[in-house]
Amino acid sequence: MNRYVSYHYFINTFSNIMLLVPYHLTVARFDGAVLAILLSPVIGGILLYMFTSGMQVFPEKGFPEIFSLFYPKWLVRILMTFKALMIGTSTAIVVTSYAVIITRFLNPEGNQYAIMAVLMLVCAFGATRSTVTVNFILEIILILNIPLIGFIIYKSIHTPLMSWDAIIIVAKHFYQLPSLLVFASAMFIFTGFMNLAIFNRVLPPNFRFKHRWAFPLVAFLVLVVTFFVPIGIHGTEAVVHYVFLWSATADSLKMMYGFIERMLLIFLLVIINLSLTYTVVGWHIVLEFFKSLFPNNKVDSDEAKPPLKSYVIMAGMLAATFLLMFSINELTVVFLGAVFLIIRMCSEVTFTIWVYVLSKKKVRRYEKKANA
Amino acid sequence: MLDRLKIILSPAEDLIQNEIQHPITGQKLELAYFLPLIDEQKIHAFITVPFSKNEYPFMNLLKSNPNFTKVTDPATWTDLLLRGQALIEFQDQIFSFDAMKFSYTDLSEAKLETSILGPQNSLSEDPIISLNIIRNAYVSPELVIDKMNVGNLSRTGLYIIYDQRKVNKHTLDLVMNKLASVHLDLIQSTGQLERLLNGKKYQLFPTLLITERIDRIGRALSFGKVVLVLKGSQYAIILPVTFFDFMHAVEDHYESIWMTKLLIFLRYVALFITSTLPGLYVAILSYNPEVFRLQLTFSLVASRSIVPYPSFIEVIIMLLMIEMLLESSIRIPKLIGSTSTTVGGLILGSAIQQAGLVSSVMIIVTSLVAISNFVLPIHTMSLAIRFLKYPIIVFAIFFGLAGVFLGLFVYIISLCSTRSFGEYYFRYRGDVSTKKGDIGGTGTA
Amino acid sequence: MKRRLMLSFVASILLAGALLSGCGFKDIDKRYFVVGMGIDKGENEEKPYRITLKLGVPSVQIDAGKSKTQVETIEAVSIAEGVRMLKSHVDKEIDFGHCKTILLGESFAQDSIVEAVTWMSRRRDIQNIAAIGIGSPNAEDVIRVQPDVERFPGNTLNLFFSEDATESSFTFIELLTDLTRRIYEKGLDPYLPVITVQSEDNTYVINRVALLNKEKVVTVLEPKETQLLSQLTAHTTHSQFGSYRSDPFVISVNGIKIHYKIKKSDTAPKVEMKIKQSVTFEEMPINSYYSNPEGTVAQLEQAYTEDVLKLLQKIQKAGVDPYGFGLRYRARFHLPNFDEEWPDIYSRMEFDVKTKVEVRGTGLLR
Repeated sequence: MNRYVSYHYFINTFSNIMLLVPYHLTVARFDGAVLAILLSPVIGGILLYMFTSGMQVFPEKGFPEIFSLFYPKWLVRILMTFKALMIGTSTAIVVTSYAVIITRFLNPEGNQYAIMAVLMLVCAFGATRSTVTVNFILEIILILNIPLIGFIIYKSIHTPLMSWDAIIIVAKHFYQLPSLLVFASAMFIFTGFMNLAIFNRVLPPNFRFKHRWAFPLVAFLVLVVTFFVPIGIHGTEAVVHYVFLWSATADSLKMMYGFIERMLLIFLLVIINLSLTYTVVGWHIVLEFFKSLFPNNKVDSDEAKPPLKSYVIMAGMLAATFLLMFSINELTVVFLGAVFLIIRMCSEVTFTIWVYVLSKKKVRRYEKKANA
Repeated sequence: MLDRLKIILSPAEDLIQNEIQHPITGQKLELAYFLPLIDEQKIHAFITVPFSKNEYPFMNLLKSNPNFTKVTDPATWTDLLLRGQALIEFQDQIFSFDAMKFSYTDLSEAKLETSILGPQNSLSEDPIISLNIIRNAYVSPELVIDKMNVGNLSRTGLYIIYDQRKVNKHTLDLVMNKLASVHLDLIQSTGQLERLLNGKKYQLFPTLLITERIDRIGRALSFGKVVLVLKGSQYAIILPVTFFDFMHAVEDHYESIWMTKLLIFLRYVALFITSTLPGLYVAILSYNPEVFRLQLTFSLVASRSIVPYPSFIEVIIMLLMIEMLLESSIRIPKLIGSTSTTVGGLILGSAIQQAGLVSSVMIIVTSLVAISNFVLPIHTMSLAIRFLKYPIIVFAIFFGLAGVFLGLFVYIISLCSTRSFGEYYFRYRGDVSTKKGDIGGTGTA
Repeated sequence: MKRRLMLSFVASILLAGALLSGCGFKDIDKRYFVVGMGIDKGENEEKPYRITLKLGVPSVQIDAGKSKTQVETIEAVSIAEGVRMLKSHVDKEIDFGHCKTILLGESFAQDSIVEAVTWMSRRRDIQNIAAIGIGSPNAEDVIRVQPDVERFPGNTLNLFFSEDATESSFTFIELLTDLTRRIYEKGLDPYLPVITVQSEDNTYVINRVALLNKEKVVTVLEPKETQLLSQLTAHTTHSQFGSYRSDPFVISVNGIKIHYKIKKSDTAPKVEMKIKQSVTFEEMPINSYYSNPEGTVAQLEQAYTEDVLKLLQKIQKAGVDPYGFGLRYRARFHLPNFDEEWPDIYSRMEFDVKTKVEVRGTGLLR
């Protein structure tokens, strides 16, 4: 079942890489982005090891259950609310940005809020399904889209526009120290394992994590491609001019013999799929965190029908996301996104270490029991 | 003998075990056979009648008639029974009697799922005949046939067939519970039963498979599925099923492997075309005409330029027309059957285009949608899919290409969340082994 | 009950969406596709832009010469405004989704192209793979030309700039992405193909390239030089390399490989360029190669080297860098104040070209 773990890891990688992350990284291309890209997989890999070996001690348990083992109810509730808000914000940012992209490229005269509303309704429908279902959705979407992603990457590397000199120029700035923000945005790619906070529930009890080294490695390669390819195509200067960098990059590619000519469409298709899935997964996690706040919450990873409270929580989240979108504009999204990236990184690191410590504690408890 | 048989054989509703005692002589005769497999006339003529008349010492009959063979080894019992022999115990000796019956000649030809190389016949409306061919196709002592009656008024006989070693107990319980909760006065066809058993009320996709083919049933049994045979219907129900079973024709096992693989791929392409093409037509024509190359775009514009109303009206007109055509060719009496297709397909099609009411590209789209719908091998699924294009059109009208993708996404979600009697309906299986465990833990790996 | 509530909620949102969106819904036959655009300098001082749009008119018959177009021209204060005003000149919605060719007038390009290019990149419906060129003597005249044998509106120019039809060694294809990059990149300057009209038969000729410094045309190369430059850059983009002459030989280039290094030096930085090409003979007196192979190859190498040197020096003198020496210099050496130091370094740069010719064959004759 390691493949499900990898899906959760890579959906995070793929869906963020084309949006939030390149923005901050390319701005800092001469000021530490390269070093951030080099360092983040190492630290991300260490965190992945700590987190997974921590979670392994608690088979079939999510965060709410694990923390309830050690701490009083009120503390667990505060922590879970915090985590839920964290993930909720990231999905809100993603879903808003994609609504903007869709409006820009596919439906320029359409109403952004209407598109947004439908996007969110679809995601809400997906997110209220059972945990197992969400896993299947994730799997099927990734299986369908990874060939397309591969095709886009292949095409973008093999385009005659590619200038290796520009890439070398940027790569030579590897000695610059990154700012916290740049580092945080590179790190974001490597924190997909956090989804296990809920999805650990569905992994079978005799589950062992395998090939953990490959996760950060692949994510690192993807990150390198998404960072350097636009630089190779747009040059070292014009690369920061684009709001939607990867859309512009995909639009620069041409399929000479394809049924359709513009690569942009394939890219948009992938992006819609990935963003929807990311939001479905994210909201599902938030939903489960919020559900754990209820006093007698029954955890069922494959319920036939979602309980009423799922719908109520979901409606609340839709409203909150909508309000967020109404109240802020594109510029504040970027600013908030920056702040959020840093806070999120700190929270991920904290929780990872926390779970690791808890797992050691549990093992020690067992040993004591065994000795006594 | 009968006591021992009970131990060896799985409890089967169709296993007849009789103990006859002659009222005058007090002789005892034990008789066991599978009802669907044998010709009851023969049993009467050769066993029960001579035994009861007792004009001739029965033992002598057994010994002298070459149709009776003495059986010494109890290990062969089940095999003999399954091959259409009746077992007789008389005076502590066991004989087998060949009363084999094949009912193949009584069957009508398969109409819904035709095949070139596979068996040509469908099940029968007589459940005994159906059971006969099922027993003959799946010769195993593990086969269990339960019988129950459904319908408060009709008390229609329903046979529940499964391989007791392979079947998933959880699934079986679910089926039994579900059947027990069916409360309807009249149950007359398998389709009706299907609707009743089909999970939720507003289910989008069928979660059980209706088939008339014996080879499909045999295969399903060997995979541990449950088969329901209803009296008076020549269709059986197979459950649980996955989405992929519906994409699979029985023929796939009989023909060249590479072509088969290509055909399966083709079916998925057809699935995509039939559900999205009208939506894509609306989206591309009205929202995103920059999708295609210049040449194609201008051909589209040229063919559309005489059509007086927006693209979606055009699409809806044509789709309604094709649905009516399909519907009329089912309902129309067989004698005048071909008229509607001729009128609709040939005359209306070309006339409507010449009159400038519909663009010629739309005609192509409509026919492509209809044709690719028929590529799907199972009728119930093909019907379910036929509906899918309409919501996508609605999405396309409001949101263009993005709407089409959104619509597909909704379908994927709904497919993934469907369960067919506890089994995951739509998932990529990969290497799921019981040793490693499956996600969720509740799944039937 | 719950479900019905859900359903009605969904329905109401959809309905609201339909009403709110005002619908981007616009049928394909209610749109005019821009198949070519020209931007010229306006004659009026207050309206510096003269915008020409070529709109494709769909026709049911598709045959050579049956293509119909409508050309609209307007002078405006800005490009965006001009396009918006043009909408009032036509009965259908103007759609740039298929605008693959955008021409800038010659005099316009001698002023500044940056603003126009920025406008194009900013518009979402102009593709990044649109080809940009310079229309000579002005863009409007080129756009107005209706080639006699065109099948689809505006297709002729499109085909010139798409690599799947004609592949000429004289034609440079400059896509919007690349142009934007070259305008802003330090150490890489833009170039644009120059399109002229052959008036006898209403066709286009594209055999010269204009070299620009960051914003305007500095020099226009002759066809022969254009082909040479195309050969020098072509190893990445083309499969057609064209030919060159060195009496009595005409050579067709089949393949070309170029490696160059930049050597840093305070007095004279040096570009060491190694050109390796495989050639076949297209024209020569019979037996002239076989009688003296080494001599012939040496003569060809010599001639090619001289041509390349001349071209590079001409470009250097013009002070532009379409080849990207500056970019390579940045990649090799650290140069923090590129903008100030580079022009000086470039002007002092020396070129050392070595050509190696490999003869593949002499055609069907000896």
